Amino acid sequence: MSHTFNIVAVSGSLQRPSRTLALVQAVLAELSGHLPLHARVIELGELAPHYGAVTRPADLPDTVREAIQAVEQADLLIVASPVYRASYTGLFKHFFDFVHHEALFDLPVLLAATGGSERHALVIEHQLRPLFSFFQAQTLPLGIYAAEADFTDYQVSDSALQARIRLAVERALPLISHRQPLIASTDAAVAAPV
Amino acid sequence: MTVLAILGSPSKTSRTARLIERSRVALTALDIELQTLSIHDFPADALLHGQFSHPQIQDFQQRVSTASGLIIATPVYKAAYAGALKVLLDLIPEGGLAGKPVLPLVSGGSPGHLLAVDYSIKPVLAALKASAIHQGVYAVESQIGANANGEAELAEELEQRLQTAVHEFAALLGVNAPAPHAPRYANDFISRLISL
Repeated sequence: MSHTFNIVAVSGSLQRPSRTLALVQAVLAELSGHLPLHARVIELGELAPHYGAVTRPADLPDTVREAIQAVEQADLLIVASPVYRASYTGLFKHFFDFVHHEALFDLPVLLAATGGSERHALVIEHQLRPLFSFFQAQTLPLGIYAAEADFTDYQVSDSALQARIRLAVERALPLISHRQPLIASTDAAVAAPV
Repeated sequence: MTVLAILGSPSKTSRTARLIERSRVALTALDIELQTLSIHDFPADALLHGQFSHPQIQDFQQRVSTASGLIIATPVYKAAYAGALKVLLDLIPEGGLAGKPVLPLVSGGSPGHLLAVDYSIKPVLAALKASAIHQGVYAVESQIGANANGEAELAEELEQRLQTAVHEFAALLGVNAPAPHAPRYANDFISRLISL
């Protein structure tokens, strides 16, 4: 019997095309070579009109509730944000402000960020990791930071970044493959990422 | 002289807003005007897509750039500043706080989140190149209340810390006036000297 792993990625980019989304897709593509998975990408730029101005959880529309539920039920969560003012974007944080503080216990989370230059690489360690540590999630030891120069036409093109993605996935696998997946699949089909 | 307060609380009548209210009283006494903005003052679509060309966003940037200093006020959510605050900070241009003193006012549910001031908020203010970041005031929510008229009322210990901080902040703006209460650490220092 095979299992399909439920991988949810949150891309904090507000624009399309987006390097952050391209990075998320590259990670999913790499993962799909190793695991049978069902991938769900939540693009906050698309979702923003439905929660950006909402300040009370009770006022969230179903589309956003459903996205939050998907995050909470993931076997692996990939979070990626562009770097704004040396941190994740406001809307990225606003989204996770709606996630219940007990909903991500022990969930493996792969941290990723994209910035204009290498200078903001520490955003992973100083902003993203503390946020998901608060949730008592299992932040994966290796995060992925990508700079603008690592992309060509909004696709990952730098070989060092590609190697980093492979390594991050390789090191993530032992931490997620033992999980009892939520979705039990009877066929061996691998859902295409994205 | 004008100071701009950016309120990161999604609720206009929040405890964090009450910290601003008490600061306004103290600043007004020093002849410093305090204006306050929160996400409720902006149209959602302009905020969501960071439309720098939107008239209200440009007005916001103008108010930031003409303010002598800023108060950045936020509740602690998930051990960090509120997303509703960061949405507004994202609209400040690169280096937009250069030359400006900033006073962080932070409220949290327990003393355990004090370090969110130093580890979460201050790095963002530093990235915006604030010239001087005041130590800040961290308040536990149980210390913040309101009187029968709905006016902010703080626990005495917090009120003293806030008054001291506002006066120190005013000094960074070039407005010098003695604080109504000597700083707590000075009192402690003197009392320790006396006890020696």
